[in-house]
Amino acid sequence: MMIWAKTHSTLILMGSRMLTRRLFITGALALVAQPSLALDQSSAKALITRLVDQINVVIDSGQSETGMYLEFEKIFKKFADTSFIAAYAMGADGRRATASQKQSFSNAFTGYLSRRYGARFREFIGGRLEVKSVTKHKRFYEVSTTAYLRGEAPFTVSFHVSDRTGKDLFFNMYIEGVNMLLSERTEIGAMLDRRRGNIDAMIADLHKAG
Amino acid sequence: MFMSRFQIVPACLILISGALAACSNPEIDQATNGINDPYEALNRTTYSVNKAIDTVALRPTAQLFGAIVPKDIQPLVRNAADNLGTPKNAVNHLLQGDPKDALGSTMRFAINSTLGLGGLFDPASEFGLAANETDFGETLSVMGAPEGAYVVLPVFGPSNARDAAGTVVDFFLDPMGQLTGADAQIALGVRAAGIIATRDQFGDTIDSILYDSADGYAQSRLLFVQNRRFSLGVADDDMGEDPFDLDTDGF
Repeated sequence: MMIWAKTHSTLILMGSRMLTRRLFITGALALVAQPSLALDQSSAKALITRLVDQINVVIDSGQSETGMYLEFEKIFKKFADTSFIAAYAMGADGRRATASQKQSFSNAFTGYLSRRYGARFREFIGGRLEVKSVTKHKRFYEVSTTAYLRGEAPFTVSFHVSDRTGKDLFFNMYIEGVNMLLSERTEIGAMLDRRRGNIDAMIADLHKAG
Repeated sequence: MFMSRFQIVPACLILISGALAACSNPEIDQATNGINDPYEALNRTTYSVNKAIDTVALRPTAQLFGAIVPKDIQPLVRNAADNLGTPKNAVNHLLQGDPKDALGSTMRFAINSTLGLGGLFDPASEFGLAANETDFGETLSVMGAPEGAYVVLPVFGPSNARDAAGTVVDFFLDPMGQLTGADAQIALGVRAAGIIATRDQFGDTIDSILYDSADGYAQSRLLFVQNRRFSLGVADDDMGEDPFDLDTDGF
């Protein structure tokens, strides 16, 4: 109970910890710097540093929840490989989806993710996320970060970064070993089952979920 | 005599190939995320019972706890409960052939029980002796026991065959089990309070699985299995998918 309760809370975190000033300045500098052309250890790390920084700026802004979700959605679209994430989440069912279903699923899913994860961001104000290390895998980089939360033991959040699209983007996230893509594909699969496989009905539900 | 042994071989091969065929079927794989869950029907029933217990007892109690107990006091409750689990950690570290961690856990217990006022505070972490939780399930894993099937235990929740056995053994192994009379009652109370405090601490996130997810059973199963393997250091090293492999056309 304790183990999965604890892990699950981290699922919601999504690397959204508030920044230390030092990190913020680093991030601001990274934004100004020219993006590197080829994906390597330092560009993968820079991407995640910028991502963490921008999320924390939104958390600190103190705007309304709806305003925050919209900001998170913008950040997500900017830093995440949204087409990969959407295609993965739909899994095998994606093969029978029409072009317009794929497009509207992609849009609905991005909004859903921003609400689902964004809703919890403010709970983590006062903590921080530190980029620790970068590991090269076959065709992507894994950027490991440590999340420090008030009243909790530090835990690991890692981002997977690739340049599949020609741009450096993150396409998955693991929180204490829990694969975000897999969780979301499971959720979408269950939502489809509930609608007896009707993709349009599932997309309609997705607009309200999160 | 030899005949009978040879007759078993083809039967095994058929069984193994059948199992492999099942594994390689993407539909089956996607349904359980490759998790071995042969008792799914029974597990789902137990999950429903556990969820009902949460709905009527644990969740409302935790909400009350969160509303009444001051924010500064809440971590102390969790600390005290965690402290009672430390001797069990020490015993398991020792059984895992890790005297260094066993000593660390022992010292952590000694420091937090005294300087930490009976475990309410956690000065040991300040001295570099952070919480280092383990259990007999991990000891079994270190000894090479396989994980076994996924099971949902009544009240305890998500587990597997190995961890279920570990949970039972820990019950007997735990030095705190030696407590009797009023001490045992207090320890039980502290542990119960710790569970309530933890349910409150992760309230929204637990709610999102149990009550908001389209399939809370599948989500909790996936979460438990992955996190458990990660914490035991036996997670799949070949992390996930090749981003170039998926057809993302149209998304």
